[in-house]
Amino acid sequence: MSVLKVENLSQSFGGLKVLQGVSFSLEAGEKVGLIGPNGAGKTTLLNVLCGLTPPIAGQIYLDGHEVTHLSPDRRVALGLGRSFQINTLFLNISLLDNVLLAVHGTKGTRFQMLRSIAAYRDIHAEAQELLEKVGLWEKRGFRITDLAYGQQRQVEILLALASKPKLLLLDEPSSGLSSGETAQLIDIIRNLPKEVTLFFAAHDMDLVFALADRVVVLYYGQIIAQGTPEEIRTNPKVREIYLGTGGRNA
Amino acid sequence: MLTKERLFRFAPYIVIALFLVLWPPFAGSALVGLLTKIIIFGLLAMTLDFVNGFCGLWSFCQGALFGVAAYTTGILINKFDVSSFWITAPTAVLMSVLVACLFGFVALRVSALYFLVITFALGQLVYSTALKWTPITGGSNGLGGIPYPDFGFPISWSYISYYYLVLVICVICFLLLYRIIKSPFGLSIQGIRENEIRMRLLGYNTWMLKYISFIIGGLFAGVAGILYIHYNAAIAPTQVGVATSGLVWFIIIIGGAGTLWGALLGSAIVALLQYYISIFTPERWPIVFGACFVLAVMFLRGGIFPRLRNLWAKVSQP
Repeated sequence: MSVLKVENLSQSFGGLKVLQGVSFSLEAGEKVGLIGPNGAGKTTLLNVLCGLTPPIAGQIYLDGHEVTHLSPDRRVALGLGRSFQINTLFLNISLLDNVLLAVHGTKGTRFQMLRSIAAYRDIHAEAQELLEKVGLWEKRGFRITDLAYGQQRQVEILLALASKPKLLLLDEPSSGLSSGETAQLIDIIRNLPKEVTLFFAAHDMDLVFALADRVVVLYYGQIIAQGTPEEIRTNPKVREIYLGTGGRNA
Repeated sequence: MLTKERLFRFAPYIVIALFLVLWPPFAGSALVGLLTKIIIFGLLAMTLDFVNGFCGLWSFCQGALFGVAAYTTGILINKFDVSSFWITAPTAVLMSVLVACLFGFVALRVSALYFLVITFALGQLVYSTALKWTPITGGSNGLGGIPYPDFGFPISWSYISYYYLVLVICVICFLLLYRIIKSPFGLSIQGIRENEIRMRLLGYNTWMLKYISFIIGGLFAGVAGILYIHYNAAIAPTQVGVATSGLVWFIIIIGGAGTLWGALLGSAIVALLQYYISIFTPERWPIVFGACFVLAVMFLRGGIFPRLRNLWAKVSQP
């Protein structure tokens, strides 16, 4: 069964049609890249998928449930995780608190008021495991503003992973990272469990070709091509509008 | 573990606690009265600190929620001859909570400064009700002659015994609020203050969290209102309007938001400033007070308490 099925999704801001009848589906465990030139609607598509902006038409099915009009938190409970292109973190609390919030988000005890958060050993253990995975456990007491940009970027991805999502949406995960940091990011994503479905928007072709089994191309709000990275690389239409004719892959 | 270093680190808190417990019997009624007022407004400012400093909601109606409980107590005692504290206090807190439920429901449709404007307007509703509903609320004269609480067993009330009652209740409220802040719920409202969109995408129903926080703020504001009317023996519309809602903002801006302690410290600073400046210039104290406030905003960003805490952390470091 597909983890995500999208039918005829449309979105517009005023007269601008940002998404026009987008339909596709993601199978469990697939790693799919979303590419397209600036303004193609990639971030809007992710926002609609995670529930931040309701679509004007179309349906979204997450793991068999219709979620088109559900709030983001309900979708997260159904197994969705999302990271942002621009770091969206809790700046004035500690790194550990950031991760604790992320781990706690899908737990039943998140509304508990009269027990200290320090008493939840299992949640601390999960947070520690996550932070150790990226080598930031030593910095757990730091505020986010005191971390380097590359580390903040890792935390951005880490928060999306914390709820152990079935479907992970990443928006430009390597945005602003050095090539060394990108390699580290690719490692983290490759080490995710096999059954996690990944859908990520990217400009960085190296990242797309390193991670994606399949690529979806969005152009002015419409899907104009999808296929394996190899097919997309050689697709004349994609080359014309996206890579440019006679580009570096020619 | 209570080591020597820890004892030293917490020394200021211990000194303040000892002072609050031991000093009043030796002080005069004016100073104990002032201290009682400091603690009551400290509690009210803590509710704003909880709602704004932790949850990030710009509430301008804490004074009104405080007033609802104060008026409910006063009306029950004066108009309905219900004197038992065990009836008046729970009813008053319940009324504050209900009004907070209603106000929160309306105001949480918007955020940030719009929230401030809406809560301000809703707060003015309470003020106008108190002013206009003369048969029940006493109009602009308000309600007077409110006695000390009637517990159903004889207590020799004096300004000192009432002070201790206020102290005990406020300490309990402080501990409860502190407990909530350190809980998963407390961390998640701080997450909302920092970044609400991310909280939604981590699985939190942020509307509900904000709503509950606002109601908790209303509940403790109600407690402060009850303590105030028994302390002051009277309540008038001006005490539940903009003046009080604004006063608690002064308090947390001067004391430091997001710390709870800042509310208590701010309350002490504001009350002492008012008290001593008005001794020197009974008519012009608001000018001096306003200048102090402007200076605090310009030169003490983030409030006094965080600065003192950092200073002491440096001093007490081994």
